[in-house]
This record gives sequence, C-alpha cells and structure tokens, in this order.
Amino acid sequence: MLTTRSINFIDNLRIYLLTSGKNENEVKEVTEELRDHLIESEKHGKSIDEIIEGTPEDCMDSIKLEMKTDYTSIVKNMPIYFLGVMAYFIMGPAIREEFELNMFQVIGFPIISAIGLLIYIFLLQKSSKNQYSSKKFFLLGMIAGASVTALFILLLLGSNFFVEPFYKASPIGTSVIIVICIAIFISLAFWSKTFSAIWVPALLFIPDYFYRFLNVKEETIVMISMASFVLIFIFMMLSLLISHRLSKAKI
Amino acid sequence: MATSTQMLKGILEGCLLAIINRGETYGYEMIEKLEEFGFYMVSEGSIYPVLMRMQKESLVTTVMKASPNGPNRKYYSITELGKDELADYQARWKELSQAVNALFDNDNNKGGE
Repeated sequence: MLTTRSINFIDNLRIYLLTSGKNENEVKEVTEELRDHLIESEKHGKSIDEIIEGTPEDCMDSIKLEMKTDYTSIVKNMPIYFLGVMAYFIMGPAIREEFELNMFQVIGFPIISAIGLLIYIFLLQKSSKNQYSSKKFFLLGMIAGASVTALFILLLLGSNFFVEPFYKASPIGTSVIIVICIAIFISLAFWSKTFSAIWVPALLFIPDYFYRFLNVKEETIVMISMASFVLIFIFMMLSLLISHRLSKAKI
Repeated sequence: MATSTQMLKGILEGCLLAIINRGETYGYEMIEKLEEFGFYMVSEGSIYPVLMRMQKESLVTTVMKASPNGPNRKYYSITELGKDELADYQARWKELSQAVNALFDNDNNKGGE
C-alpha cells in the first residue's frame, strides 16, 4: 500500500511524461518500476522525500531527459484530437439543422483547436510537475476549458457577422454530419478506452435534441441546458471517484 | 552535498554496472547492494535516469517479471557491451583514483611537515 503522496507523484509523473510526448509503453514501464521501488522503500519506513533526488520537479525532468520523444504517436494522435474537437462543435448546430460554414470558421477552427491543445498541454504539464492540489487543478481546468469554449463560440457565432456562409447543410447533409459525429464519438471511446467519450456528448446535446424535435419554450431549453451541464458534472465526478477507487484498489 | 551529487553522477554508472554484473537484479535491490558497500549518499531515485541511459546504450537488458508488490518488477542483466564498458570503467577509475590519492597524499604529507 502506497501513501497518497507517492500515488500522486506517480500519477503526476505519468501525466508529465505523456504530455511531453513520451511513448506510452515506456511511460508505463518507468512508472511501474518506480511504483515497485516506492512500495519497497515505504515498507522499510522511508518517505518519498528520501527516495527522490532533489525536488519532484527535478526528478521528473531527469527521467524525461533520458526518454526519447515519440513523434510517431504525436502525429497519430493529432488527427484524433482535431476530429474530436470538430465533432463536439458541429454536432449541436447539425442537430438543430443550423449547420453552415464560412471562410473565417474554416481558417479559424484549426488555429483555435491548436491554441486549445497548447493551453491544455501547458496546464497538464504545469499541474503535474508542480503537484497542484485537486482543487487548484480543477479550478484552472475550468478556466482553461471555459476560455477555449468561449473562443470557439466567438468563432462560430461572431464570424457570421462579417462573412456570408459558403455552405448551408441540406437535410441530407445534416444527417450525414450527425452520423459522422456519432462515428467519431464511438471511435474516440474505443481509442481512449473510456465511455465518457460517448456519454459526455450524449448529455451535452440533449438541449439541441429538444430544440429540434420537441416544441418547447426557450426558457425550458435554457433549463434543460443547465440540467445537462449539471448531469455532465455529476457523471464526471462519479467517473473520477470510481477510477480513483479502482487505482487505489490496484495498489 | 551538491558537490557530492555532482561527483556521484560520474561514478554511479560504473558502480551500477558492477552491481548488475554480479547477477540479474532490480532497482531497490541495487540500492541495498550499494548501501552494503557504504553508498548511503546515493539518492534512491537518482539510479533510474542512469539505468535508463544504460539501457538506451545497450549496456544492460531488461525483463519485466511479476513481483509480490503488485506491479511488475523490472530486472536488469549486463550485456557483453556492458561488460566491456565495466572493464574500461574499472581501468579508468584505477588510473584516476591513483592520481587523486597521490595528489592528496602529497598535500597531506606537506601539511604534516
């Protein structure tokens, strides 16, 4: 049984190495090796401070320096990220039968997606390396998530004021877009081996579904939107709690 | 303390090779064996970047085996290249330590005069 500090150190090291572009298998190998060492050391009454050299940040950096960057994985994962983000932002308008595209969006979407990716990587690296508390990480994650979402909403809605759309989806086009988005969410779930890639969008797009298929008032849609966010929050907390318990049980 | 860390960085690779040369072993056991020889100043975590470098340079091979602790344990064995490097290291160390001892002995003798 490891102490919470040691468990956190191993988890943070794994996130730091993965977000630094290191190979997943190698990261697993090194974190397992360190976990085994920490278990042995703690059995002998040593604390993590005696085990790691210098600060946790120094220790993480010295391990990172000895690992090659896995550019193949980065190149493979990039399209998955961009497709995932794209599916999240076009699914809503497609369900509402309002999907259209203008040149600003075509150019701006990859740029904002890349900015978002950099923000998330920066946050994950900083929080793992500096061992942020869950509260601090959650708060900064919310700020980062809200900022990136605001940029996308600004692009999707704001660009319509400046340029005319060059494409408006027909009913058939809309159906094709929805099917593609669903296929992306299912593929993401298989790729990431987590069902959250399916239930998060399923809950997120409930209000859009109500908007299109049920004749309800705008106030009701707002209420449903809020309820769907609350549901997502509850599900996220539950899945975090379950995965935390499972990882604790493994140790 | 900082000086001793800097000094150890250069020495650790040779010492770990010598420990692994005695037979297949794993991280925590290496620390225990080093401590048997008085290496209490070696920080436990500091051996892993060195082991990773030695693995990259094919001086050692590794194999994962089940351990009583739960996670798999990584065992290290020395390669032929590692044995050559160890022999080379021992020769360089002998030469260097003789020179350093000669200098210090000389200084100490002068101080005693």
